[in-house]
Parts: sequence; structure tokens; C-alpha cells
Amino acid sequence: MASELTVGSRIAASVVADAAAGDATALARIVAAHHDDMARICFVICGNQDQAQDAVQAAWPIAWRKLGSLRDHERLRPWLMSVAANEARQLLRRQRRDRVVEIEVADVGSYADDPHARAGLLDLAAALRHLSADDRMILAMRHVAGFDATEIGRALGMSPSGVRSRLARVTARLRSELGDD
Amino acid sequence: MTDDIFGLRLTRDLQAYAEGGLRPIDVLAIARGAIGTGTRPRASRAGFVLVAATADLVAAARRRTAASPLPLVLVAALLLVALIALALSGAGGRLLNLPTVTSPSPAPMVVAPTAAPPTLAVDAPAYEAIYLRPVADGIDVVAVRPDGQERLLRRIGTTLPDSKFPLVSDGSVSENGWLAISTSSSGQLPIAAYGLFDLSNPTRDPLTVPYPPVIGGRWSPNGLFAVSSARTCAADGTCWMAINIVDPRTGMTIELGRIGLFGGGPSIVWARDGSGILDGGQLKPVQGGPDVAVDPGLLFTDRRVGRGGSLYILLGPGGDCPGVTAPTIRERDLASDFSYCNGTDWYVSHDKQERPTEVIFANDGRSLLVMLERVSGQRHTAVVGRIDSPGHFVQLATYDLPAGGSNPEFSVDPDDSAFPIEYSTGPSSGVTFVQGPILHRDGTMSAVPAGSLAGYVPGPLVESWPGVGSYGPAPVPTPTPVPVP
Repeated sequence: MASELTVGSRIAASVVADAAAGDATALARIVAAHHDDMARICFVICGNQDQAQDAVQAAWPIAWRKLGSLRDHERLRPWLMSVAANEARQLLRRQRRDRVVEIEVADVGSYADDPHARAGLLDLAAALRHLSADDRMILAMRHVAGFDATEIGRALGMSPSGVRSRLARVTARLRSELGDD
Repeated sequence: MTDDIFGLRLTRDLQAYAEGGLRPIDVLAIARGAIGTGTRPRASRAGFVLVAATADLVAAARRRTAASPLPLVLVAALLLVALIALALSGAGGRLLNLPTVTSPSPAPMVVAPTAAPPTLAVDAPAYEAIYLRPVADGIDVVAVRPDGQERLLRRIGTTLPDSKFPLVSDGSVSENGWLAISTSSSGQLPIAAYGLFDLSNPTRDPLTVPYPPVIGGRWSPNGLFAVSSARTCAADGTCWMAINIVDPRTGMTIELGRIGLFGGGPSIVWARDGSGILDGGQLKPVQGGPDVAVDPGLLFTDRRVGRGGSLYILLGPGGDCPGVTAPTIRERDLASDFSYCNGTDWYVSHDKQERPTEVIFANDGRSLLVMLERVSGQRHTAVVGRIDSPGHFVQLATYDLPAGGSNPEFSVDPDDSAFPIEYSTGPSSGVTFVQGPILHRDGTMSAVPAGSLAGYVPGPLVESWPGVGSYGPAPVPTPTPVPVP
């Protein structure tokens, strides 16, 4: 079982304010608390560690520039996750536009000691590649970040009911792909 | 929401899969890079240090912008001038500020200390062995002098911070005193992790480095830790590894791209001057740029590779190489990988009761250290010898294998003076390896300390560390109670 995401990492409002004002140490505290979760979400969207890290790296300058506009510091985490997820989606779009041929290899097999876990993760990686980036984004926000339909909808500009129906469609497709009918 | 069994399984599997996106990071560098005009630390390798250093200036100017826009303009101008100067100086091609390697020679390397300059003990031995011993509440890291005196350097817990997976009492130590120990993922997580521990500072928290447990990490002589990232395969079936280089002192990590590792293992083999890693028959520079030819004088950290990349091969009659009539040790060139049988014969065993079982290069990268297995009457002997030129074998030490022992192997300390040996016992269907004694070049023999050997560190450096205890004799092992029938 994967380690749990750091849901409980709370950042004080003063730290957010200091970071927004340009305090590198304060921003570093925010990076330390949220970078890994952002990388996990980007990895599910991109299917590639390099691209996931590139997306998160690209997300931080954007997040810092807009940090001052964040009115509720309690929403920092979902906001950062959506910035990273959007950056991952943009990165994939740019690559298609620029005709950069990336070999999509989610080589989870070399990670796993357990043959069953390895086979399961390889199947999952293959099934994810058949989904659109937007569908992978919704899956990542729900299952990796643990957001509900309202939070996902706020991040993606969709209604909660729209998120629910799309998530149901994507899940049904994955269930079919993974032979779990 | 999907709250059925499939949904729960999907959550579990997606979370496990998402771990593949993680990589060690330097949070302050990312923060400074984000603030410093939106520069991306990883992508903007050229000039990143400068950008990071000026980020605070830019931020300060940004805060003052409302009062006066002039400072920001000035800082931007200064930054532009500095970046141009950096580009002109050629520094932009550097990936990482590497610690200085003081000597590319096989002599004991003097490394930069990791903390305040220690007072080096003048009467310390040239090297001390570092052993790892499992104890009830963790792992003891112990320094052992050649005379057997030892002391506790640090006690490590059973897990890394933020990890529930156990550390294994098996690791490797760098010449400047950082210890790498991996966790056992037990098949539950797709990623294992290394904990990098500073032996010079028992209170310093370890650095955690994730890696796919395929290839063991390797220390460079100047204290950089190389560890494999995921294996990547192209559509045509060709596969390759990328290597991450971690500087534990700063937490900074860079990735070396496509790389073909040495041997069938495969293994990460560092140049002894820390300049790069063997990539096929060439050297991949750690500072970036295209592969370069291996310099004829270059030494390597792996004793299977000699000066300039020379290799050896053990041949026997009836094998792939024609004309071989007796067990033979043949040297060959790294570049001649495909002309497998060509090379110079350094040792040919015409005694039918003798065979070489292992060969490594001596620390000069030229001579060979050889383990022979000999049978003479009732005696079954492991022999360690040295060959300085083809055909000139000199015996250094011998050990009478116990009944049932065979296939002796050995390792060596940095001085080529002590040879811990192992041998196998039991039938071929169930061979087990047994740790034998340490044979010394002067013909003496000593018992192997308890635990697993992590490597060697220069003695003066080890004895400058605070450690936890003082030197004394090795503890007597507690006898195992014998069950009464």
C-alpha cells in the first residue's frame, strides 16, 4: 500500500503571506509540505517521472506569482494540486503541439518486488495510457489527492454533478480495461 | 463516488503507482528558483546557482517596487550582466558543483570533511572497516581497526523517518563517511528507498533517496551517491537506465540521461577521480556533456575494471575461446568487448589440481589479485596470490578449507593487505556461502567481525568523528542456548 498523502500538513496563514511577499524560506516550507503530492498527481497525468517533475517545477513559479491572490489559506493544498495538475495537462498538450515524440513508459515493473503488485501496476499503467489527460487528471484528483466532487469541480471549472458522472464513466472504462467486470 | 470494492482497489493501486513520480528535491532551491523570476531549477541548470543567490535580492526589490520601481530595474540589469559573464566564462555547462577530488592516484584519498575540519589522529591506521550489526532496536554502525579494536559510531533505528518499511542491515559507506542503507519494500511498495547517514554527525537526520530496487547505489570517491532511476524501453525493444546523482551534503540531485551500465549485473562503476561513470566502453561525465573516451591512466572504483578500462576474463578448456587448453586468466581491453577472446594471458594453470576461482585488479589498476582453489592429497586450500606481470604469480596467503568447503571467493581492503574470504558448502543443489576468516598479506589470519562489511574509510577521518563510544575489544557473542531434548 502506498504511503498516504500528507493531507494533514497545515501551513499557517503568516507563512503563506511571507512566501507571497518573496520570503524564500517560507516558500520552501510550502514546497516541503506539498511538492511530493503535486509530483504524485502529475505522475498519474503524465505517466513519466521526468515529465511529472518538469510539470511540478513549472507549477511552482506560477503558484508563487498567484499566491497573493489566494484568499483562504486553508485552500492552499487543493489550489496547489490544481495548479500542478493543470501544468501537467498543459505540458502534454505542448508536447503534442510541438510534435515531441515521447515514448510513454511507466516502467512500474522495475519498481515492484512482488510479481502480483508489479503485474497489477503494469496493467494499470497501460489502462491509464488509454485515457485522456483530462480523465487521468480527474482520477488523480479523486484517488491520489483525495478530493471530493466539489473540490475537483472547483479546480477544473466543472459542476460537482458533472465531475461525478465523468468519474463514473472513467471508472467504468478502467474497470472494463482491467478485466474487473 | 466510487465506494465499491473496485473503487477502493483503484485508490490503493493509483496511490502505489503515483509513488513513481517522486524524486529527492532541494526545497530551498525550488523556492528560490520559483521566486527568482520564475526560473526552473532543474531545467535551468546553467547559471542556477547565480539565480538562486540573486533570488532574495529580486524578491526584496519586488517588495519595494510599490515605493519605487527603480531597484527592480537595477537588479534586473545586474542579473543580466552576471548571466552574460557566466555564459562567457563557460560555467553554464556545469551541472553540479562537485567536491574536489584531491588525488586520482591509487594512494589513500584525502577527502574533504563533511563538518568542521576535524583534528586528524596521526597514529590512526590507514583505513578502518565499517560494519553494520542488527540489534534489537535498530542497526549499530561500528568502526573496526585492523587490530580488531572497535567502537560504536552511530545507532540507526529500524526505519527511515516517514517510512514504515524496515532498513536492512546491509549497506555501503563512502570514503568521506556517508553510509547508504536501503529499506526493504517487501513487495508492498513499488519504490524502495536509501537512507544516507552522515557518520561524522550521529545526530544529523538521514537523507531519503527513492529508487527502483534493481541496481544497487554506488558511492563516488568524492562522496556523490549514484542510484538508478527507472529502466526505460523504446518501441524497438532496446532498454536503458538513467542514473540519479545525489550530493548528500546539499540534497541536490541531477540525472544523467541514457546510460549503458557495466557488466551483466549491471553495475554503476565510478572513475576513481569522480569524473564520471562507465557508459558502455566510454565515460559519461558527471558534469554533463557527451561521453568521452576512457583515459589510459584512469582508475575505477570497481576492482573488476583496471587502469584505462582494462578487463580480465577467466577461461577454461572447451569454452567459447579456441586454443584454451587449461584454466586461464586473460586480460582484455574495455573497447574490445566484442572481440571476446583476444587479449594477453596473465596466468595459465597447468596443474590439474588447481583452478582460479576469482580475479580482481590490485589497487594500482594494473596487477591482478587472484584466488586459486587447490587440492593436494587430503588438503583443500584457498590461495590468494598477486600477479604483477603475465606469468609471474606470487603467493600471499593460504587457508585450509574445512571438509565440504569449495569455490572460495575473496574481497580486499583498500591497501591490498587484508582478504576476507567466503566459500560454499553443501551439495550443488543447495549451496550456501560461509564467511571464512580474514587472510592478511603477512601470512596471519584473523576472525571476521560480526555483522556485514559496509566498506572502508581512512582511519584518521574515522577517529576524528565523535562517535558514541570509545575503542575496545569486540564484544563476545552471547552463546545461543542449546535446546535440551
